[in-house]
Amino acid sequence: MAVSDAVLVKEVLDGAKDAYAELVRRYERPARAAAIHILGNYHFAEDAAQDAFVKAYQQLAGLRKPAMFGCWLMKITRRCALDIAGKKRPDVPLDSVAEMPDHRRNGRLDEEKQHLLREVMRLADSERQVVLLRYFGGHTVSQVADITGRSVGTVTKQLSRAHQHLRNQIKEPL
Amino acid sequence: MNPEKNIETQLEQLAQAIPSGSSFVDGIMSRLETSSDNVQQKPKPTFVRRLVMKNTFKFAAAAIVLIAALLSLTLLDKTVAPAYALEQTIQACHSVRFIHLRQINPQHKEEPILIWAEFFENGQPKQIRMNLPEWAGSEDGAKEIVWENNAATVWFKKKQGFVRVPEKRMADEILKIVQEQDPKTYVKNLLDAQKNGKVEIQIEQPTDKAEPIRVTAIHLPDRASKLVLYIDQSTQLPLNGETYTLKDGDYVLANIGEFYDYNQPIDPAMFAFDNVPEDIMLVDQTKNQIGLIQGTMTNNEVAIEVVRRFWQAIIDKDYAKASQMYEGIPAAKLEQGFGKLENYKIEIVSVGPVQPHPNPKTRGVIVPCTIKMEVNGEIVEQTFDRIGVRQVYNQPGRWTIFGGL
Repeated sequence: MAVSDAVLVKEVLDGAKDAYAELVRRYERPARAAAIHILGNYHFAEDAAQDAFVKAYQQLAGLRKPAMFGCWLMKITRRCALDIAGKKRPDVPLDSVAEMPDHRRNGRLDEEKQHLLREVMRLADSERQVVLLRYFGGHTVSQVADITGRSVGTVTKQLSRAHQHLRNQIKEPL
Repeated sequence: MNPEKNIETQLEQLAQAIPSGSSFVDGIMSRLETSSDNVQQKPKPTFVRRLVMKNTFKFAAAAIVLIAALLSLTLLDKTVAPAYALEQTIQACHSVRFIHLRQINPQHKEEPILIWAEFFENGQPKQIRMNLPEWAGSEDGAKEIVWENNAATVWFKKKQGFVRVPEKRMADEILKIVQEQDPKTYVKNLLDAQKNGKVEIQIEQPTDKAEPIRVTAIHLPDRASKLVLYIDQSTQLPLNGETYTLKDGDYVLANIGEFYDYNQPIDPAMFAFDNVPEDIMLVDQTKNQIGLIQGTMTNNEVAIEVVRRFWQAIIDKDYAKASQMYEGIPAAKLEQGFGKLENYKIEIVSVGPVQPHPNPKTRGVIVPCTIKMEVNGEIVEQTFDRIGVRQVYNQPGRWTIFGGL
C-alpha cells in the first residue's frame, strides 16, 4: 500500500527529509512534464522542476491541505517554468545535444506528444493529478487512490473522464 | 495524430519520453542538505483563535445551524431507504456497447489482464480482445487472444505460434471469462445470489453525488469472501470491484476489476494482431479437421495409433498427414524440421505403452516411442518419451499429438 501524500507531508513537517525524497520521486516525472509543457525543452524543464521542489519544501508548512500536495506542486512548477521562460535562455552546447539519445536529440517532444501533453495539462486539477500519477508516476489505480486519499472508485471515475476528454481533444485537427 | 490510437498507450509513450532518474532526486536532496533551505515551521493559529473568541456568540449560532443541517442529513440517511438499487445498474448496463476491463491480481499489480469488448445490441459479445500476461497464462506463457464470430485466434507469444480454434471449448472459455467480467453479468449474478440468500448486500450511497455508491456483498453463510463494488451515481454503471477473501480474521484483497471507457468506440485495430513476426507459425483449426478418428478403438489404442501414424507419415515423407496427426502444425514446418532426416532410413521400433501425463490439466497421456535411424551404416535408436496425445478441442472422437516431441 502506498503512503499518502498527506502522511508524507506531515512526516516532512516533523523533520523527516527522507519523506520528502519520496515525494520528489513520486512527482519527478509529473513536475518535469508540467515544466516541459511551458518551456518545451527538457534542459530548462529540469531546472524548473528542481526549483519547484526546493520552493515547495521551503513553503510546505503553508500548505493547508496536505493531500493536495501534488496539485499544489504543479502550480509551483508552472510558476518556476514561467520564471525561466521570462529569462534569457542560454544556448545548449552542440556537443551535449549530440550525446543525447535519439528521442531527446533536439531536447523536445515530438509534435504529437506535445499536443497530448498540452491537453493533459488542460485537464481539471484532480483529473490531471490522477493522470500524472497513473501514467507519469507509474502507479496503479489503487496506489493513486492511496496517494491522493481518494477512493478507488473516484480515481477510476476521474481517469475515465480524463481519457474521454483527451480522446475528444486529440480528435481535433492540430 | 491518429485519433483512434489507444489513449492509454499514447499516455504511456508520452510518459516514457519524459526523462527521470535518481540523479534528479539526489540533486534536490543535496540542495536541501547544503543550503539553508529548510522547511518553515507551521504558523500558530493565534489570529484564528482571537477571532473565534471575539465572535463566540455568532460562532455558536452558526455551529447550531451547521449541526442541525448535519443531523438532518444523518437522519435522512438512516430513515430513508437508499434510492439506489442494483436493478438500476443492470438496466444501465443494457446500453453498453463498448467497454475496456482490467483485472488486477495484487500479486502482479503491474501486469493486469486487459480486455476490450464490443457487444451487439442484444448484449451478446461481438468482438473481444484479451491480453493475458504470463502469470495468468498457465504453462503456455503470455497470450493475446482475439475472439470474433465464435472463434478465437490465440497468439502464444512464448511459443511464437498462432492458433485459430473453432467455436466451443477454448472460444467458449474465453467468452466465459469475459462474460464473468461483463458488468451486467457481474451485477446480475450478485442480485441472483442475494435473492438466493447466498450473499448479504449493504449499499452505501453518499450524499455527495461525485462519490460512487459502495455496494458490499458478503458471501453467506461462511462470510469467507466479500465483494465491494463501486457504482457511478450519475450513470449507475460500475467503476470497479474489489474481491476480498478472509484470512486470519481479516479480509485480504484478492482481485480488482476495473471498468473503463463505457461506450467509447474501440479502435478496430484492437481486434486484429499487429507487429506479428513474419516467421510465426499459424495453425488454423477452423479450416482443417485434425487428428485421428477414434472409431471403435479404446483411448489407449487410439493414442498409440496417432503416434504410430505420425511417425509412419514422417517415414513416408507425407507431411500433410503428419500435420493432421500433430495438431495441424503446418506441413511445411514439419518438412523443414524432419526433412533434415531425408538421407536416414527410419524405422519405428516401438510405440507405447500409454502413461499418465505429468500435467493432468492437459487432459492428455504420454505415448513413448522409439525410432531407429540408420545413415551410412551407422544405426542410432532414439526414444521420445514426452509425446503427449489428447482429444482434439471441439472435434469429438478425434485424437492428436500436442506439445513438443
